[in-house]
Amino acid sequence: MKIIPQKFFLTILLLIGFLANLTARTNKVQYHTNSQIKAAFEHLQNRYPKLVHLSELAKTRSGELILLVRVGNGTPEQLDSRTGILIVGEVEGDHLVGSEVSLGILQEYAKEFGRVDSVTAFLKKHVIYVIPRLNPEGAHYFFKAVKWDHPWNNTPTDEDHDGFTDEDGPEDLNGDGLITLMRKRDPEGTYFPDPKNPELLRKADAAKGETGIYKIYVEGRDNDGDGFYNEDGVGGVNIDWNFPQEYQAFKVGSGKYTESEPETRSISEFLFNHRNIVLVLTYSLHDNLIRPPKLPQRSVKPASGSSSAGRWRFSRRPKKNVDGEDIPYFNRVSRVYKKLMQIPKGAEPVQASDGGKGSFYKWVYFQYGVPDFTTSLMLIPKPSPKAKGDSLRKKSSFKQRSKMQIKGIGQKEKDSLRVNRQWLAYFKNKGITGFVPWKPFRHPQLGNVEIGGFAPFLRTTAPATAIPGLIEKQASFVAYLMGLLPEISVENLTILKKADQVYSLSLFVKNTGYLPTATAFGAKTRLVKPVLVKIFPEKGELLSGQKIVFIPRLNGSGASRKVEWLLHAPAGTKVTLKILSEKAGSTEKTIFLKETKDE
Amino acid sequence: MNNLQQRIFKSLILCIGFLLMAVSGFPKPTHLEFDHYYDYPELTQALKHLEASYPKFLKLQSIGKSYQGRELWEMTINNPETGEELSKPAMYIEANVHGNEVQGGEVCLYTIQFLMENYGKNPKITDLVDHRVFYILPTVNPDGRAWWFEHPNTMHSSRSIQRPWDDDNDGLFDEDGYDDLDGDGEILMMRKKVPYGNFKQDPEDPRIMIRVKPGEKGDYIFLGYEGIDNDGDGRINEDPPGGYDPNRNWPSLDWQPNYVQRGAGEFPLSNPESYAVTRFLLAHPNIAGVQSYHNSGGMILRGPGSKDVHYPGGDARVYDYIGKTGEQILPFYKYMVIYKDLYPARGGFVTFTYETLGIFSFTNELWSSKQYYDKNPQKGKGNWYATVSKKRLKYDDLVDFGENFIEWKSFKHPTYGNIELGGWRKMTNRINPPYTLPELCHRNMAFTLFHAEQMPKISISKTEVEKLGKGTFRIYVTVANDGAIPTISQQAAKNHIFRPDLLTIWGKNLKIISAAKVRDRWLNHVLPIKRRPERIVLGDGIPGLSSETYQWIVAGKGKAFISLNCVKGGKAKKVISLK
Repeated sequence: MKIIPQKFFLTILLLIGFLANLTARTNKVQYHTNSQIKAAFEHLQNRYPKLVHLSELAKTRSGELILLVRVGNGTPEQLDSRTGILIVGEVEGDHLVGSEVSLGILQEYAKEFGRVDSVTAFLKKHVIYVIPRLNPEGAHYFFKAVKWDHPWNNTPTDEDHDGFTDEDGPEDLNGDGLITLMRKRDPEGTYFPDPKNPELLRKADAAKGETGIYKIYVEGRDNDGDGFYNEDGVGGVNIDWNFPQEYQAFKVGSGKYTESEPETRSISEFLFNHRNIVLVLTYSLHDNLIRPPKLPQRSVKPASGSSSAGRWRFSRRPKKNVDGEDIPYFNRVSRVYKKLMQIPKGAEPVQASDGGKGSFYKWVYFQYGVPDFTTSLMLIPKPSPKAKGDSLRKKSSFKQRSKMQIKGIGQKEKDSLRVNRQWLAYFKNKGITGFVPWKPFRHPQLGNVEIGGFAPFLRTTAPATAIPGLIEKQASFVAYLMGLLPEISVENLTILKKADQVYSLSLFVKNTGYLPTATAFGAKTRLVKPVLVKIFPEKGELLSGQKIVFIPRLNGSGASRKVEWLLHAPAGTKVTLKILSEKAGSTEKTIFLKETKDE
Repeated sequence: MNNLQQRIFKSLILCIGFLLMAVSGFPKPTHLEFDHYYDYPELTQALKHLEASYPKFLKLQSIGKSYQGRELWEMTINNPETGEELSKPAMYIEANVHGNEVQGGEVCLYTIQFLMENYGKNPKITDLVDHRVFYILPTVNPDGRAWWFEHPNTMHSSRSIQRPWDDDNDGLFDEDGYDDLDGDGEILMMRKKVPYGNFKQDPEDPRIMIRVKPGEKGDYIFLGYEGIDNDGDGRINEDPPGGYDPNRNWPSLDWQPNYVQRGAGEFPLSNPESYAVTRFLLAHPNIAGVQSYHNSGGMILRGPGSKDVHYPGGDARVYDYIGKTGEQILPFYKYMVIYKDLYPARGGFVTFTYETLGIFSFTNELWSSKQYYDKNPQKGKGNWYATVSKKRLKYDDLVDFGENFIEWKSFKHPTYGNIELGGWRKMTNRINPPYTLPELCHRNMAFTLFHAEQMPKISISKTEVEKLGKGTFRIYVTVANDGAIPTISQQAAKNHIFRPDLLTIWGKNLKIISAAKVRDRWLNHVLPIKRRPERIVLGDGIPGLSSETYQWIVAGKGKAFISLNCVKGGKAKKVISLK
């Protein structure tokens, strides 16, 4: 049993070698605008019309196209009847790398079709769906003359609740093409320079005797004269906060209600209309590939209210933790991922600080029922060896950590300060102007201020030069994922004559793939349909056994389940067996009642 | 007739038609009778008749299509002479979200007709029509209504929209529903006499089946509702049409998927009907009250629908005032909180409209079966079910002349052999007898109109000018709300759900020096408003039945235009002159 995954691994190693050869020839790569990325996919479709099929997933409120690509050998209808995987890129507007990587991967596979056996076999039997840019409105800001971190879409929103929408956005006052921060000395200020890195500001803690001297603003003017600066810019809703899993209602940027955005709604609808998707790979500012999900440290307190309230006690509690039975699969994929991507030990992925609340990737696992692997394709730079003695970096045991949480003195803030120090050191070492040094500026309304701070996009989106390398590695990772799909087969179909016109019939349903036919969570919640074994004897009747056998979940790596029936029918009766699985394919067998040798 | 003759004949007929119309003037108002229930086509006809009868006030439109393509009708009642639709507070009234809970549709029709027939006659009704807008949707589940009327059904089948759902998880959709085996147009119960059963006939009334006690031997078993194993999977009636609960599909704060809340749907607003209704609600920010009609049980319900959500105290008091008054308008009805007093229900409509949209919203469960007999049927000794059934049957015998209970009769079932069919018709128990319909319509309408009357009624009730110096003035402005409902619910104010109310001043030669909120006029507690003195933002709105006073210091002369603009309360204006 254990051999199977290793076999997979060998194929992958071979594949990597091949891919390395191919990608060596890749031309100069740049980030594509919305129209450019559409053109790139159209070009791919024209070149490989039998493999690549473009369509429109939806349009955003402002009419931008959200592209959906089907890849596989066959018509789109044929592809929809096969099992497959989905790749989603650019959920947040300031994280564009997923669009480029998914495009690159498809370009590789299209070339390899007919040359590399594993790719050919997969595309003949399965389908790859790609939604390269889920948030096209947000992607615009990366290409504008003035760069502004803009993760959300352009839905008009009244962030400051004054009755106007989008009336006060930021401006590039110092003309460096970047929206950064302004700091102003103010007696009411709450920030002061970090003693270790005076460029960075930290919040003053009066209990420690610290006094704030600065107020911080986003770079720009107070366009509407309400005394607030840049508090209501263009947009919007963060698509990765708008999904109904752990949705945070009324948070600025989370939308009027869950699933309020065309982007959110269209992809949700698409997934529920395509239950043939077995797993999803999401490129977003979240991660479960470098740091796979863990069991909660303490068991979650059982629900107290639901059973006592009301007459009918059917209310179950919403789940927030990955099912314990699914965790080993996440761990294994994570191990392979780290090896393929050459992720150093202890590396920290770049992640949004929202805990994945309302995110797409969590929604896929908890409300669509299939595993979602997600990565930002960015690592937080390692601390310089000098900083090792830094007390903020000290590894703390779980006990200590929980103590800190109980005390409640901003662990999150400490973390962000530590991360910012690491970025600062990294930018300095590499000679990148990732941090605009504070420079005095005469502000028309605020008077003397200083403008500076981290430059947009550099901490969320990998530099264009890194894209070819990422494509190469991600292509091999996706190839690994393609090898994991569950697959149903029927083995040891046996007919025994028990008496005249009485036959016993038995078979083993086997999952020869690696993943189970459903996640444990998907099976428990019935989000994934069970494997069905249906028997249709042409004549006669069942003496025992069920007409439909339900197998909620069948493990992979060759796990089997025996199904048997006792039939009353004349010899030679035709019996049809149908084995149907949403995520592992379907097969049909026809037999005639006649004793077979017991194998 | 040749071609020419035909043409002449046709134009002649047309001419006569026009002449007749000209003589009779406008079509006469059609009076709808509430002596029966309206199926979907008749409901559509009735709405069109009403619109044609009162073209000045009524506007009928479809806000979208159901899954099977039926129109979702919406009737707007608005007097165009008293202002533009969106400038007046509106009451949103809907019914029949559950396909089998039909009589709310009649309440909606009754309401439209009552308001129109009494406009200009009854001053209260005239005032309501003049100062409020009504959006009325008699069925937000037209497929469900059509299914319930057109097909043999039980009184419970079905709540769902008619979108296929695989109830038994076998990969097939809606393949095994009820079957009207004896062709009498009803889905009855099936029972079978057996040597060893778990039921027996009630010795006093053999129509009633009672479960045997321990130590007692029964002679009957129940086999469920009338039907056969349509798909041959060895089970009966396990996958009937639909399977969604359209009242669990709304993005309220407690929405959860199917594994937590049965019937929730794939994601919030995944049903075409709920999506269409939500788009309508968002396009009409003036909606300040919501009423949804269901059946049955005699309840006036409000959220929360689950323990996870908490309602602010001020809003709860407003709810209590309206709900408790409702108990007086509707005898036999009880004012209840959904999760506490009924059962937890996540993703409900009225919890969505209150929690997510900030609008006070009620659900009425129309018709209490207590109205059949006496107030407390539970008080009888012994078997509760038998006691209630006996009373119910007695009522059916004596008042309805046995119309509603179909006596047990033998039937040969393809699977079970000799069985008996019998039980209640679908048009009973949950559905009130037609002769009680007008009163049910009227009282529930009265409750909803009471709610509509409590919606914000704003005014700039008082202005005072005080001269402070040469060309310098202090202006006191008092804004008032004569409705019991605040212009902004606490839920909406706390969560910034919609735009705050605005109090503005403008004058050609005026400079606004400062603005402030007057907390206490006598003690001169005045709270300064820091930003934009000419545009005061009332974040919390104007509470119900109260007033607030603001102060402006202005420099200049001439006319000052003061305006109050509320999203859910309408607008008010006043002009003062400064000398």
